[in-house]
Amino acid sequence: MNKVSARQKRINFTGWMFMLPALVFGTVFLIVPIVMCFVFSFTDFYMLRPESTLFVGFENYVDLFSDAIFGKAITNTLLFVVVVVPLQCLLALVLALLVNKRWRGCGVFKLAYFAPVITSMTVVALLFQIFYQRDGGIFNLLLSLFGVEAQGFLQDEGQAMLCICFMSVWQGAGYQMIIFLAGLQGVSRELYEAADIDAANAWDKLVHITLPSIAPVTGFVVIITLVGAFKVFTQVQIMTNGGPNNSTITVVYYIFQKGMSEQLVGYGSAISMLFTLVFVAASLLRGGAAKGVGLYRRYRERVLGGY
Amino acid sequence: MVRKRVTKILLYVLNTALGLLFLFPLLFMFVSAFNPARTLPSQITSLGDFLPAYFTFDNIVSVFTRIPMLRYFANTLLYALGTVVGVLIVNGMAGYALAKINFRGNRVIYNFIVIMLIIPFEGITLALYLVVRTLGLLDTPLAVILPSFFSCFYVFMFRQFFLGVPNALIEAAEIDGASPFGTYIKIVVPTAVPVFITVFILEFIGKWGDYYWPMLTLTSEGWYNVQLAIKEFSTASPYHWGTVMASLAVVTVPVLVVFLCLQRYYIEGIATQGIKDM
Repeated sequence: MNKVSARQKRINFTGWMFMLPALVFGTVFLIVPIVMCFVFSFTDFYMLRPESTLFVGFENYVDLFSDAIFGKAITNTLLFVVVVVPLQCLLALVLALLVNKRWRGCGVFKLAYFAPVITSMTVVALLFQIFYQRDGGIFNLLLSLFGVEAQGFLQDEGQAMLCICFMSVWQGAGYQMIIFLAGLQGVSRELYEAADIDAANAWDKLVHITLPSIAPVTGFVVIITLVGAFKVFTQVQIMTNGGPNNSTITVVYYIFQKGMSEQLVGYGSAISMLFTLVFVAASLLRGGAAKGVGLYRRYRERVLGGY
Repeated sequence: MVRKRVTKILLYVLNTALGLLFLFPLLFMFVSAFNPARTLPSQITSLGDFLPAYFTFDNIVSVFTRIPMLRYFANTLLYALGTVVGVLIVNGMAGYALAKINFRGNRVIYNFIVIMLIIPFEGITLALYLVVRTLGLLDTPLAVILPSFFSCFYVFMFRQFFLGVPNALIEAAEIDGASPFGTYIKIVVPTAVPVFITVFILEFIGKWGDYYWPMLTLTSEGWYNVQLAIKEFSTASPYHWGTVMASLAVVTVPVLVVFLCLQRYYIEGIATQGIKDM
């Protein structure tokens, strides 16, 4: 048995003292809520009558499976993800390629692309709500120039979610652009110089040098865009309140609606738990995938002698 | 050579076009804020109605006279600065401990924090609301300030930065007889100013634009932040499109100024570890 030296004891004490504020706040405002959420999800906790709370086992989860609005919230969220993630990532990549030059004026363009990110989502959502109006909205006025009749946009069940997607792509692309730019700056100049000697054209350089070099960054950008897209809430709350006819209701909005508006904390917690579980599962999958790719690379290196 | 010049011009044209497209909604907002037309949106019938006949400050003035906008600015500033101070102290110290103090449990806590990075805030809001309510903080500034103090992301960010601080620097201070806390404040923090500024601006801009959590916890109008205020204002009557635009513009200007002053740090924060949203 080895005794802990006096010095190590002192170091332990110092370390824990430095951690103390983080531990206190982390416990109260992160760990406790997670545990509470887990526990509540198995109860029928109703905020107006907390004293009559009962354990109901998996009832909330079972109910969710037959909850048509929850199904709608999932499909809407998936629609948002499927539309926004590829568009936003692609747009961000194009923007990054466009401003990744040392020319005069590129800083200004970068700022222009980034300005919507700085503007708060509330401001952007209120602004676009006005743009999307049927009467006097700028989009309808523009359409009328081409003889297209006024569209419902946010009031139209079929269009509302796509309108929110369009706005979100515009608002957020600058953020991903910055990360792409950081990646582009890391691409080795020698590769381009070698390509110049081989008289490669710009397209070849893009496909064979730039894109493969920034592949890890691209993966990272896709992940953070995915994560952000799954959490879509503010736009919906401000622009449509989930309507018309639940056509823009999303999972996070449904948590809010059930748990806060209707005060059904038990039910809302069950949705929250499922929502959180998706994130945990996805990150486990990602860890697994990364390991798989690593193994495959090592295998290839051994068999093919590198690439 | 000619081809190179042509591509260069082409790229400039493309950038200008896209740049205008990106800026258009914001330009529209700022121009409309000075538009004297006191119209309802439904009274607008052609694109020409959006062009102001002349520029006026009436809309801006009425944003400050019809609602206590200065109060909302003060509230928001209080929430943002209050949060930032706590964030820098709490997460800075934790990041330092994890990076430079080899205490028992260091690895366990670090791994735990990395796992906790995955938990989405939106997944715990209901329970967090109940915690805040139990503590009696609802509808007080502390309701929006305290829950933001600890952040796995910022601990992680500070740790990564402090790992790069040379051990010799810390050991030298200890040999000179400085206490661990004294070493941290006098020796380590001054070398870490960039990461402190980065966290400051990320959190400040985040808090300025925060909507979801304040909406849940702040119920009296007197405590509203600017985002809640403009949402409320945009639904209040009489609804003048120019004044609504002015309110949006007024809320956007301060954060644009902060960004322009500290943009290098903000962009570095995103570019090097843009995992805030995870």
